[in-house]
Amino acid sequence: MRQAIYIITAFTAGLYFATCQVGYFIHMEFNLSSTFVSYYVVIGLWILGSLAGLFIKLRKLSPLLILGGLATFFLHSFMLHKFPYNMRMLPLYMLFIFLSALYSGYFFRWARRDFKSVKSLFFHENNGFLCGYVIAVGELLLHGQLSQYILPPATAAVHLLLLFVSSRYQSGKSL
Amino acid sequence: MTYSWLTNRGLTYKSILFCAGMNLILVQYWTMKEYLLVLDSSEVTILLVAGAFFASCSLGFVLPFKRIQQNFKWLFTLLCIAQLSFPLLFKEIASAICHYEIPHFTLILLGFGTLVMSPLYTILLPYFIERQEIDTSIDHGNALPICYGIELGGGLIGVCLILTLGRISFPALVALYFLNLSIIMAFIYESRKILLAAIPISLCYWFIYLPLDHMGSRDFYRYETPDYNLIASAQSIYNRIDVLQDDKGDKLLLMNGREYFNSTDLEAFNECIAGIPSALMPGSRLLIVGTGSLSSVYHASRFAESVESVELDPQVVKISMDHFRKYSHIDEVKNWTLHIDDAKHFLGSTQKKYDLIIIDLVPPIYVQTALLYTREFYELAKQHLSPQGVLSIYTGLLFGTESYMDTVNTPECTIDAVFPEYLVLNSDAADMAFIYASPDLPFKKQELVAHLKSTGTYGKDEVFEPADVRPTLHDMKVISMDNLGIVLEWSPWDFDPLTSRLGDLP
Repeated sequence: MRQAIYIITAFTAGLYFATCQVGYFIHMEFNLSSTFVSYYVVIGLWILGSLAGLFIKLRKLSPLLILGGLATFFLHSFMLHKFPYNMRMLPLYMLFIFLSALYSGYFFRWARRDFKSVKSLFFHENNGFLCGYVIAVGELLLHGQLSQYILPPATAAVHLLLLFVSSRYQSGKSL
Repeated sequence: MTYSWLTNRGLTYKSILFCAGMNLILVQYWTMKEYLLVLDSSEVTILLVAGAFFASCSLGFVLPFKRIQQNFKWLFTLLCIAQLSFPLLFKEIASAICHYEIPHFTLILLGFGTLVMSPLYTILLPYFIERQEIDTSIDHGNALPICYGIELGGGLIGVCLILTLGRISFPALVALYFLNLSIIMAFIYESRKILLAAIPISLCYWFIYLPLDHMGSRDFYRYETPDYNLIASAQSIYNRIDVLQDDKGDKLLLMNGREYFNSTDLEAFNECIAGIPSALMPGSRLLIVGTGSLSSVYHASRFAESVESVELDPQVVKISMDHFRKYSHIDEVKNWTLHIDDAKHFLGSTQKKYDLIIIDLVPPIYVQTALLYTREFYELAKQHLSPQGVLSIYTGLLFGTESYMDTVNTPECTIDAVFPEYLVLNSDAADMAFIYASPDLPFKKQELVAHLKSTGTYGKDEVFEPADVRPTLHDMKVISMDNLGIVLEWSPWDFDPLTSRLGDLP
């Protein structure tokens, strides 16, 4: 049971990362520019944020990083609507993406302890990412940009819930 | 032990992971371009290919590296050869599948790419993390950040390379990819001698990539369009662009395998989208969104005071300049200015007003292009029209036909939601409808009809006013950022085309 919860937690983490990443890209594409800059800024800054997140040594930061990441996600969207097509805002948007991505690195660092095999951790997270990507793009085509406001908080909420449940299985360990 | 060998000889696990991370990004970029050529290029294709890529990453994560390295080393050799011949092999397989009418075209190709390209890299990360944890006896939390961090660092460099080197020379990017691959193969085979052979091969690849790709593309197009030969190709960061020519000298311009311009059929298209409104509004300041083959520029410029074009992909313009001058008459146009930008960003960041804005884009098969068919974009265009300015668009279907009535997301419905005045022209020669919309249309139906009579097309062509159009819009939806269903309507989304393209073949 415990292992199943850890697996689902990793899967939902992948779901959250994918929906958040696609959401960032869609908002950039819709309200800033459809040039390659938008796509690669999101990918590059997400990788950079993950890289930084891997080296955060403080514990108990998961809820803070997830909620902070969501806050920057919505702030990013708000600013894009407030200042559409304004490339001078790009550095600020890059900062928002970087901050949201911190949790993806942080998650791997601390989730490793819950998995006997590192293969399993990457496998289940990646499967979640795959599903999240298909859902996010599929929903965009079916229901438009509204879905991009709903999916990241929804997947983050499910992931947070599972983090809370899995923490109850860990004596002496925390979120 | 492999691990010790690498550590001792200076080819550390760090360099292997770095190369793997970089190649994971490069391979995604490269294979996407290959797939967009051989499959029906659309957003659905991108979704399928990206899905296959992530599935292949998952496959790599679960495969046992050490066991395969010890017992099935030949598998890595096979993968390496398959990757080296990928620009040729992949398209030859696609051609063979078409030729022998093997069903489930898409799924077979997705499966092939899935197995060949990515697992070779994702298989390494879990192995190195676990080796680190065992060999250095460091606690579980520290090996992963180091190993994964190095791989992410490689990925970041991969992104930077695509943005820099990828824009200058795609073959150089592929050569670098094989250089990374050769380092990984040296590790797998525990032999530095491999590097002695692999490094020159990788560098040679810089020069042989284009001939290989050309051979593969030529054979692929031979099955798609048997009467045409491939005469030129270019890779931009957005598109793969090919030019085909038949024995009579007629040319086709293809983007990601889709025909975008031909030297005969699209004459009527350009006349309707650019020539007619421009002729009815002489002396106007004009903007063309999506220049592509450049042929609409000439049609528009004959009557205009000035013509500006905004095009996203500079390579498309370059290849059109090189191969379609004869058709586009671009040398005769003196009042033309080109802007390389995204149309939304261009219009959103300029204060200029235009008398005529022409939307001459590829169909809404990608989200990127579908955004330029939305209510939001038409409203943005409207803000940049002079008081009697006109927006000219094509709809892709003849108005009032059965196909039109079966469509849910239509440009007619969207234009009706944004503009109070418009005319719909059904063009027999172009086999589709065009809409001229405005806040205050400077020409009326009678003037458009008179123009058609003067060109001898009236009778075959029909003109409709809003009163004729509105009764057909009841069950139709406005295309907007909240409704991008048009992408699915234009994509090969039915079950048959998804699993097999044989039905589409001539």
